[in-house]
Amino acid sequence: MLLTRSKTRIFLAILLLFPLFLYWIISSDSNIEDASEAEIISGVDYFMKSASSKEFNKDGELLRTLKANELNHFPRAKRTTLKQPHITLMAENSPRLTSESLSGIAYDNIDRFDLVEQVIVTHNPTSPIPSVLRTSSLSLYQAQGTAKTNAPVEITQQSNITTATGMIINYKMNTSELLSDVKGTFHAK
Amino acid sequence: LPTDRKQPIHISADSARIDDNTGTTTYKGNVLMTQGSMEIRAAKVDLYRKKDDINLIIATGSPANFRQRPSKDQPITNAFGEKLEYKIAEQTVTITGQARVEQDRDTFSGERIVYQMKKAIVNAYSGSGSSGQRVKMIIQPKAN
Repeated sequence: MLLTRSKTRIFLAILLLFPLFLYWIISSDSNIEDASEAEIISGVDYFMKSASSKEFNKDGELLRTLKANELNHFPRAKRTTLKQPHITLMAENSPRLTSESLSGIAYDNIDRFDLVEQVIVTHNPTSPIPSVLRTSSLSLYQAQGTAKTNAPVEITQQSNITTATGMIINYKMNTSELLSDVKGTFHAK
Repeated sequence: LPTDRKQPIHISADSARIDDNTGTTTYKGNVLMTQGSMEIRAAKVDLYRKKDDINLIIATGSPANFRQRPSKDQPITNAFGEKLEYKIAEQTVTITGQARVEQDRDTFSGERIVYQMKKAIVNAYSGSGSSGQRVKMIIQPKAN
């Protein structure tokens, strides 16, 4: 009698624990899946070291070259972070704008490239008197052919210096707008 | 001053537009430009560069103002007009639109005035035809 009671107890315990055991197995599987998926989405799905790329338009004209010490793509954030990016933007087959910075962000679905920290932009690098812009952040819009910042800028061209706050460069039209607080010093020859 | 020509040009404004195709930079809003003792105040200033050297400055305002001390022992020359054209190589300022120049207590006005900075000479011109603005000069008696 004693035996059958203990057997029934064991049987009851199994009966009670089985659903719990089943639930545990299912949820842990999905957790593992979530975890790996989470890691892919919130983490990096691919990265490159010493990355270098060239972009051409449909007529085979070179539009842009991009180099970076390191590039990491974040699928969930739909963006790529770059270390020491160096970009050359072309217009009519000549380099119109070269830009570099400590870091950069490219966006998967937006035509925008953010240069961040110690941004140096050379306008018309092949001209006899190129102008060099220094600022803390700059966004490049390649399709529009513009570059924009709201930060303070300093532009040097030979010995002439101009400072301002906020700037819009239209590098296809070869014009620039200085948005406020403009100061310039030009040395007479 | 005679040394003004060799001094750096300092300019400040609310905003500016740089056109690398024409070599022109247009400054707008409370524009103040100084070069040694020379000062230009205007609503808008167009600065023309040729091979990175500034050769022409056009200031417009209501009025725009140019002032400079020709030499240590001469009084400040003050010029007013809707448009001032400063040709750097020639060192001349051409004033049009309600043009008026004041030197000490003497005043000159006319349709167009050309001020020669090196010699502090004022050439005033009247407008053509009967409707043109005539040249007017007021020379104050000098104390003996």
